[in-house]
Amino acid sequence: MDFLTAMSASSSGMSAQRFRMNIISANIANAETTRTPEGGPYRRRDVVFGALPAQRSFEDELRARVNPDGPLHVKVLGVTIDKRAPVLKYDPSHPDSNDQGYVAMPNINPMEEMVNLMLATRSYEANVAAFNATKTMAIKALEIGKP
Amino acid sequence: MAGIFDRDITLLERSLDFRSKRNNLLSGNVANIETPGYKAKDLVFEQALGKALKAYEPGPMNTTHPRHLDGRNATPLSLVQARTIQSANPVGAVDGNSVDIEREMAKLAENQIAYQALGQMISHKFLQLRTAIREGE
Repeated sequence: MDFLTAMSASSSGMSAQRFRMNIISANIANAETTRTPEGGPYRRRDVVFGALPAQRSFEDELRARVNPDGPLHVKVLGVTIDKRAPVLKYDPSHPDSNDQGYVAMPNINPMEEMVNLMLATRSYEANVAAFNATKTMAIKALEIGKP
Repeated sequence: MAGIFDRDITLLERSLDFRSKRNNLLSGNVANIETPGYKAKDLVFEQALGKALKAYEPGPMNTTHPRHLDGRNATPLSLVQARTIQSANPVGAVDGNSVDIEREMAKLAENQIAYQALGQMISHKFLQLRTAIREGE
């Protein structure tokens, strides 16, 4: 039965959105972090999504060649680091302040992060709805021939 | 066409098949709502199926023998192919993504309901056959 293709496309969407939520949560959590292993304040992170054919097993490869119009899965291609410069905040009592009394703080806008979080949540829900539609169809197919 | 599984069952079966394929594509679209450069896809088949039904109507030429050709020009139902298209989106996004989520969800729901209706119809067909086989019992 070919419903598994739709289900795995939907679940790839769900897991990509969940990964994005993790990154956004990390951004919010680190809004005030001034020390990181790579040095300097925390830098905002973002995810890059790409559309790819399903996992590359032999069968998938074969199917993709035979039917190049099949559905594409979402894949997290990578996490990028935002190039925005840190914000300088005047706080001479901060242990990481420079000689002039300024601290380099992460350039994180809570509004922006919250909007992205909402987008991720809604996209996740859309995938759940698509998944449920597929499930209902599969169950209906099983009912064919039932007395 | 001969036998107990008539053209309606073949038609319903092909429609179910296409609807399930369409569901795959639409689910892929929903999953890629935020993938930059992704183009939404859709499957068209209704016209092709409608055309194939013509294969069951008598052709323009008269036949007096079962092996005569009657000049019909139609693909048989079992050989009809669906076409994958890129669905047009008038309000394109900046990042080249053409998924319109409201439209995709509506299509998904429509496809699901049509699938259920087709499933119901094919069940009914089998029920009719059963009645005939059991002589109305």
